[in-house]
Amino acid sequence: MTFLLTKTPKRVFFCMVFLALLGPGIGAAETDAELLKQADALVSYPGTDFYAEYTLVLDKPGQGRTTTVAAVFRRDSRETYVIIILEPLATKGQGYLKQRNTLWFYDPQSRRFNSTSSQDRFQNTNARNSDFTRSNLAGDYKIISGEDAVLGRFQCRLLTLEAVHDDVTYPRMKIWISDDGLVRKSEDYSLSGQLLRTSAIPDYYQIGDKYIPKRILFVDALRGAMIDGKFVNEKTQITINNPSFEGIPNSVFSKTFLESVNQ
Amino acid sequence: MRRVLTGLLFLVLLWVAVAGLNAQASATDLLESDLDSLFDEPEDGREDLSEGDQKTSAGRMDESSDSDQTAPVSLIKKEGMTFTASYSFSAGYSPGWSESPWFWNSESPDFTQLVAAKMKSSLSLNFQISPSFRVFQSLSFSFPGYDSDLFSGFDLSMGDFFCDYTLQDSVYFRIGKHNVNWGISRNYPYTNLPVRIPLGSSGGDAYAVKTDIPLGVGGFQLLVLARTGFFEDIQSPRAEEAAYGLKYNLALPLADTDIGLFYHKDMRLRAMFSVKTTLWEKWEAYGEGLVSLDQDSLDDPVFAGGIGFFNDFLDGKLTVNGEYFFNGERYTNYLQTEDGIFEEDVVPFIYGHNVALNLIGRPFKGSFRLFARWLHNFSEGSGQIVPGFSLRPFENMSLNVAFPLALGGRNGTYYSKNADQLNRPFSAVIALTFSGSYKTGDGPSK
Repeated sequence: MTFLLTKTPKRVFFCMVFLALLGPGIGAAETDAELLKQADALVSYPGTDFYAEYTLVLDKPGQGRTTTVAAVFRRDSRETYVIIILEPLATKGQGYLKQRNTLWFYDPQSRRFNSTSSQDRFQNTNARNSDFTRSNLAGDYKIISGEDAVLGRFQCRLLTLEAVHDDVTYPRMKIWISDDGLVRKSEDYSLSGQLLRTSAIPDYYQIGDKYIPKRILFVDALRGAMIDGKFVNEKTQITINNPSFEGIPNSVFSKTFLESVNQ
Repeated sequence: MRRVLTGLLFLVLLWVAVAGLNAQASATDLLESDLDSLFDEPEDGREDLSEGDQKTSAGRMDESSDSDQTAPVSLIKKEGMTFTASYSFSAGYSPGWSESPWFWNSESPDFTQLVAAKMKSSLSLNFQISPSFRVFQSLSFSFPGYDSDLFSGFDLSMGDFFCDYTLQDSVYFRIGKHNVNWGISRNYPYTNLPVRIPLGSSGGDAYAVKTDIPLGVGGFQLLVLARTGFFEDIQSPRAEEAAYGLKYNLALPLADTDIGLFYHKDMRLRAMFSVKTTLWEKWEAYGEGLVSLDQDSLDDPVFAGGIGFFNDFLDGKLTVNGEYFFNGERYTNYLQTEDGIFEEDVVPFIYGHNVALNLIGRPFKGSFRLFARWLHNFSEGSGQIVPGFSLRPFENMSLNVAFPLALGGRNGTYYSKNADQLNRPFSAVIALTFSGSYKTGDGPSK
């Protein structure tokens, strides 16, 4: 009995210490998961349609800059979007139509549709086709670790993510979520851990309880050129203008609409 | 001639009017910054109103201001005009023989040398008159021109001339002179039923009323199509002389499917289907089929069908298209429209088993291309192979060299009827072309 009396408090003590050590970890993991869901929710619009004009400026070191302007129509409730290229004239009228995991590309020159990959570069910039769809980080990735971090003026939670399936563009990511729940920065990695791209979203629009990135900067870690003996990365800035949550006709999310714009 | 000059002057004036339009300036401020330093800067205050939520560090837009905006669809179909001028000046030399090399021992072939020079311009205007109404018109001018194979100096012809009208963002009409294309195959367009023409007909320009009704991602298409060659008396066309078509597109994530029906009183009733999908992320695979019936008895079914693929290999340095096509129909033609490579021509479909293989190689950086096209009909034992190369040594200049060679016996279709101007079974083509186009304006592009 004495043995039991002496052993039991020890066991209880160790259990309490163990739980005390583990407890915050479990709590943080739950908090991080919630944070990731919140980050998705703030920039997803399942209850409404979304439209905006995206201006993409690609800066190729040593080759100058090229500008692409695109009209983006999104209907998150059906996981679909339509993108129409408005500028430059050479590619004006090219269009993209996302239908679940399938992405149709329409070329007005050949007047044909071809399926393309969400993981491909958008108009040869540093943006990917998947950058235009709704955010689903919580569904596509699992959290490997989380820690507090400072990003300029933002107090952030830095999460390391790993993809749970192969349909994502990047198998590994690090994302910085500021204390208002918005993704501010991400680093995209290959499966082997090679840094592929860094993204920054310094500011957002807010319309009601919805948030829209205002400017996004992509820095390609692999593409660039040697300028004066130094590797200069290729960059793309996206500026989003005229965002709107007005209803969009169903026919916009059809191949006929893409053909009608500039056939 | 005065009309022509007036028309050209009108186009030039319109071009001058829109030439001063500038593209919208683009935001590039982040490109100048170091990525991490972006977060040290104060928030962009443009949308950060006084009641802006500092906690969220985000600008706030007034929701009510959106109500003044034009509907999103109207924003991309805003009124405007685009002017496009395309020019092409070609000079070519083509030696050729009246027999393929393996017949040279039995007969001495005729050797001919063709020289060609061609100049062509196309001026087009594309007006978005309102978000729901658009008009496109083009005018082509070429030299030399031929009228019924007789040299006539130059040709002035109308290209596409049509209007698009969108009814309540639900029904899309296209009315006027334009081509309609169905099907997938670029080698054997047997499911492209609108380009079919009756035996003995020259076809002619297509005038069509096309109605598209979206349904999901795909939708229905209703077609009324007439060609100048369909009418006995072009001055008084009759409804029964036109062709009628119906097509339904079912676009699913796994496959893009078309089924269609096409009727003309002088042709068999034809129904087609096509399916296209992407396999293993890179292989674009397609299958097509056709059944034709006697239109009076709705009997005597004849079938045609095939499968094909596209894929890029060697990191995009080699593009391959292969196709098998079985044609159960005999004595059928289609109208090949001029597309910059081929002249407009009536082309036969050959009965039996056909294969096609197209290769495009890009061994070096730059514009140099090696290509080869092989078409073969095993039932007839006739084929055609066209190896060659092309390059653009300087801007707006291209050089094309090809060696078309007919395979098989002299009675084969490819031996007697091919893309060569004189239907020579063996020739070489060297063509130098200066070409380019200029496009300006803020309206739609074609």
